[in-house]
Amino acid sequence: MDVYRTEEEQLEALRGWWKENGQSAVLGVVIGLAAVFGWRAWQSHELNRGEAASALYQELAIAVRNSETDKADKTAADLQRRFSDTPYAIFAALIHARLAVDAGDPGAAAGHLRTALAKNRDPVLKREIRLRLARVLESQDMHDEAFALLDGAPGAYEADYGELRGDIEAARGRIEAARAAYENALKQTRASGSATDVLEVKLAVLGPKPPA
Amino acid sequence: MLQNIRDLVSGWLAAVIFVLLIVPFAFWGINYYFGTGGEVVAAEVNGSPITLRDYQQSVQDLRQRLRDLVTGMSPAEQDQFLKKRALEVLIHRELLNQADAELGLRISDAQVRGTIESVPYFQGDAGFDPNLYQSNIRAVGLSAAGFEAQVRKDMMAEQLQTGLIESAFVTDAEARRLAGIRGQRRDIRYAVLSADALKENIAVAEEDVQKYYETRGDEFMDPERVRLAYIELSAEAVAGEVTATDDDLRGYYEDNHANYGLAEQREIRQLLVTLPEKAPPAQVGKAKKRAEAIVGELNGGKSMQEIATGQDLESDTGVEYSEFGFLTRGVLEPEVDEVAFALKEGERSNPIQSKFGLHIVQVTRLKGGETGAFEDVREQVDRDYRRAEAEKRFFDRADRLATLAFENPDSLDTAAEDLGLTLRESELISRDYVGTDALGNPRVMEAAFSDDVLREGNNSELIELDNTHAVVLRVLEHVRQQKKPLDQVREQAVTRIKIERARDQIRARGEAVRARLKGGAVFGDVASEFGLEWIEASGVRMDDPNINRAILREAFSLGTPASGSAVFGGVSLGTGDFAVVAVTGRHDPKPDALDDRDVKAVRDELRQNTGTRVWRNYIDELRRTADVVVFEERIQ
Repeated sequence: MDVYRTEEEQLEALRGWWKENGQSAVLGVVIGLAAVFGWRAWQSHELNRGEAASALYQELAIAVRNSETDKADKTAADLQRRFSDTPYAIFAALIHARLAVDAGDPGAAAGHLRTALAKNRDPVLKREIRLRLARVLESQDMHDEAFALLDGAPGAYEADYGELRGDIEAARGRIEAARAAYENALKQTRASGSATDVLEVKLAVLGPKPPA
Repeated sequence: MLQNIRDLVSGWLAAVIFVLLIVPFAFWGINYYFGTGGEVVAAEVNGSPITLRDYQQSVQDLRQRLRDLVTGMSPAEQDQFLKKRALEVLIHRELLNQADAELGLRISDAQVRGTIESVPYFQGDAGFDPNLYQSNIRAVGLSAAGFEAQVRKDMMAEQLQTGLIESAFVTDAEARRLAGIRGQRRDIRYAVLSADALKENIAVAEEDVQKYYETRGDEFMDPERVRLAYIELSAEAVAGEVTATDDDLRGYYEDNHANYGLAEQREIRQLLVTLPEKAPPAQVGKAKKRAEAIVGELNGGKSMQEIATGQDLESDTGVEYSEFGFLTRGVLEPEVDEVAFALKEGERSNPIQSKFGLHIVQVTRLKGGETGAFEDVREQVDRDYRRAEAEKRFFDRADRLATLAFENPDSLDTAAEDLGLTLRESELISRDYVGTDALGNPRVMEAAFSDDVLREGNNSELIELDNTHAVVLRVLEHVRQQKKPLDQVREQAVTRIKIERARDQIRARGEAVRARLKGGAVFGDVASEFGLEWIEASGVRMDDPNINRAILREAFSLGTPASGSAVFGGVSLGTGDFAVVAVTGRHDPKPDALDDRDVKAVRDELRQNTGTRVWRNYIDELRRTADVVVFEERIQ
């Protein structure tokens, strides 16, 4: 190991090092600090946006709860436009869809639900939104499009998916397919301990099973 | 070697390492390197721990809230039920928290503050009271930071819930579909074949009774029973032993004279130099100096109000002025209370330290505090003295009873003799004994059927039924659950066999009727052949209140009759009777002819259900897809 003999030599060595590496060292520090502050600033910007969206969403929730339809409509649109990259835009789209259904405009509702579906990344929410979209399409007699949304293994949504499938099959006049769908939905509903009266009635009025 | 390192870290490599090191700190801060660790984990939800401590707290909370709802279960079952529920509650909460974070929900500090400030518990006379808030959350063992974090989580969960539930809808098609089904009508004809008459003519052979008794033995069980010996102790019973001399009463009156008159009230105002909880000594010292200075200013003639309003806002120790109005003893912090009730009217205290900071209090007016003269309240004193004495004796005896019962675990005789109490014996009684006596208390039965008492044969512990009532018991005789002897239940068995056979016979008959109708026989002929009476009802709805529900359900599930013809069915009724049902006409409402009110009613009904359904589905699906590990051995 080398030992520096005098202070001058040490100083000289340091100067040499600086000459050689000074630029890259300064650059490293600058990049590092920029990364830190840039990240922090971006985070805080995101946080502020998220919080602003959250506050606007609270207003929307209150308007909906108080049945202030016009205000709710405006706030939902506002939230979707200004904060389209936040989760609140998805909720706003869902609420917008409800307002449209209530106003007798299932076409617009389907549009909002498609927006929500496109933005959403949550796998559980996805099942719910698909179900809603299928229901709105069914109400416009778009049976094939609705049916196509109800594929796959819907997990906890099996009863609701099954009931809607049964409704669609019954409307298409495919009674046995409707019966199978309702029966499966009934089984799931019983297992979860929920009310079964509506399903039972739907199943009953299909009439008796034809002899095999 | 150091030189090697030095060589390596010079040049561009140094810069790279520097950047690499600094980035993690920017993302996660220093905390990332120090885990919280050390807690025992009861379960893991997608890798996040639920601590044993939280679990136990949750069990305790639930036990208190559900105490009345879980009756009808044995203590062991109750325990299992509560533990399971408590864990599910925590798992759901954790799942929701994770979902909220995953979605990216945000609640600002201002939103949290807004919510907290609107909580009724934290409202003082002039709106939100920070002191009240602090003391209330501390009373339930939370820090402000912990409570605020909890509020934030709850608000996020509520946002999610709102997003799902408030956006739930019912389409026009759905409402019309169900309204259409409910609006359907049927023309029906039905006859009820009675099983009652058949029962009389059924002869049951002894061997059939034997067989029924053997195979269906569980219908004839006597429950597990015990005969108890017990000692009952009550404050009422000892009240008669209390004697009260004049001196006793006067002594009691002197000790408790605050109870016999208007309580003293003092009008108090204060200046508080606030201190945070667990303030460092330096800050306390500073606050003390400030308080001393204030005393100086007050002595100099300044009023408390002037000091509070004129305070230096830059100073880090705040000064708060409050007028409490008239207070009785025990309202203020104990340290302050003591001083405030020792002051003379108009006097001011020196600084008193409490957990809130340094108080300077002044008593501005006094009222009350006069006691009633002994002679005036003698009757009341007498009553109170006797009650207090009886309670004291009761507790002494109860204590003695518990000790004696424990020290002589094989018998209650010693305890009864020693205390001069009656040793009683009960009849054979089962776990669900309900009586107005002490044994009817569920705690008594719980103890009687506990392992220690029932299996080990020990005396029970002292069972406190309430503040003035206690019981100790032991089991004298234990009869296991057993089948009642055949002779005792023969008649019951015969009746049940008759009912079952009659039901089967009447069903066979009903099926025969249906077959004849299907074969084309007319109603009148079948009626005379089988001795039936047809009841006719046209245009009935599925909720018609005048017709048996089972018959209606059968009618509506029979499908559509061809024109001029009928479809036939049959159904067993709860009574054992059988109904033959024919549908001769079906009338479905036309979709565009539905009554708007009916549609609206259905829509409202569906909307109510759909909100709950949406939320339950969401939670169930979260739970289904989650990775939950429960450490069973730790939570037992």
